[in-house]
Amino acid sequence: MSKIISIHSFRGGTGKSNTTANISAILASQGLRVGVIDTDIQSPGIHVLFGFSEDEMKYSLNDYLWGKCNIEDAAYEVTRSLGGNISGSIYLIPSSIKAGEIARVLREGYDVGLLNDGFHELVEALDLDVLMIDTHPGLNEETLLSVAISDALAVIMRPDQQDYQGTSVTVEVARKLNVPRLVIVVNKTPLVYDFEQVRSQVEQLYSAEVAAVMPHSDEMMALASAGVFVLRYPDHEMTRLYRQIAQKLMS
Amino acid sequence: MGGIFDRLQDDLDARNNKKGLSPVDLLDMPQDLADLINQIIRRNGMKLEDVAQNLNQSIEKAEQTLDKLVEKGYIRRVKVKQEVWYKAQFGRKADKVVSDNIWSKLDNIFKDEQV
Ligand SMILES: Nc1ncnc2c1ncn2[C@@H]1O[C@H](COP(=O)(O)OP(=O)(O)OP(=O)(O)O)[C@@H](O)[C@H]1O
Ligand SMILES: [Mg+2]
Repeated sequence: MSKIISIHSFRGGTGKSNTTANISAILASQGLRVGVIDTDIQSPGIHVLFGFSEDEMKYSLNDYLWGKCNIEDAAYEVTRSLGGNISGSIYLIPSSIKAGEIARVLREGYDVGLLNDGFHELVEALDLDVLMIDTHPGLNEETLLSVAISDALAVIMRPDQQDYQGTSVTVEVARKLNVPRLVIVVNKTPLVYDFEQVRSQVEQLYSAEVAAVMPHSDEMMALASAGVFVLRYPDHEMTRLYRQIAQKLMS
Repeated sequence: MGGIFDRLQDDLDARNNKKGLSPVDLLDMPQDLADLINQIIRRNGMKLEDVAQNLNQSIEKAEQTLDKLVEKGYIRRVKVKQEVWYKAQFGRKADKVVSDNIWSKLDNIFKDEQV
């Protein structure tokens, strides 16, 4: 059975796109066929992590939503270009980064049913084991739809008071939408914090499992989204934690 | 009696939704109604028998419920290989949060770009 996994956070910049890319790479390294779709139509970005440039983007998710192509025409295999030892495959479905196309989708909207069909068609057409959905922060239609169809959801938060509040909104929504598996990832935790204490606090607050408490990492900062961390630093502590999250999302 | 069908009558009669379903609608529906529609979305469609089983209702009652949802524009019937399936009927997303003004301003900025 294939799985749909969404990565979300209430606030921006928590590490969604990096988490999505890294978990995708881990699952593909295990031999799985993984699709990664960028539903952050307003501020797309995950293609950068896969080293995918605008010139290669003949079709994007936007074209599919405007009926210009099939969803699989907007899927690009990025496995080889990532290097590393990946026995499975990664297919990226990027959103357009042309200002005019972003403006158009915001202004004219799109057929939400088409997006829903697109998720399911992708899984079929590319014979995916896993579809990973990177989302826009906060709640909007794309996010709610992706949460509504997900088998598993990772909610990312920083140990920050604003994130704490926002996360409770997301968790509440995920419960309302009956997501079978919900985990929380605490990211960018300052090294001076007591990690175990953060974990138990968060678990208690949301009555949900914390898949990992990730440190704030200078190596991650320095990589600056120029690559997929787990492939660059296979022996790093962050990599071990990403593997742990992947495993918890798949179980 | 009682249960989802009666609640549906009241709740759905109060709603006027011909523009199709938005995922946002699921958030302010009574939980059992949201659960049903969520199931239909999640499985990318359901058959009458599955819905009846899911709701723990007779086929007739389940069909009445589904008819009501079709009438309200939340779901639609589709034929797949001679079988009737019920699928979510999503509408268009149109972001009206921002005033229309901003779009014409953006248009001016982006008018050189081809869309
Ligand atoms: N554990 C970490 N330690 C240090 N920096 C991190 C960590 N995780 C992510 N970052 C950095 O934080 C920034 C934001 O990450 P990312 O783009 O993945 O977040 P996002 O949630 O997708 O953001 P947005 O909401 O804008 O889509 C990036 O510069 C990334 O390198
Ligand atoms: Mg992002």
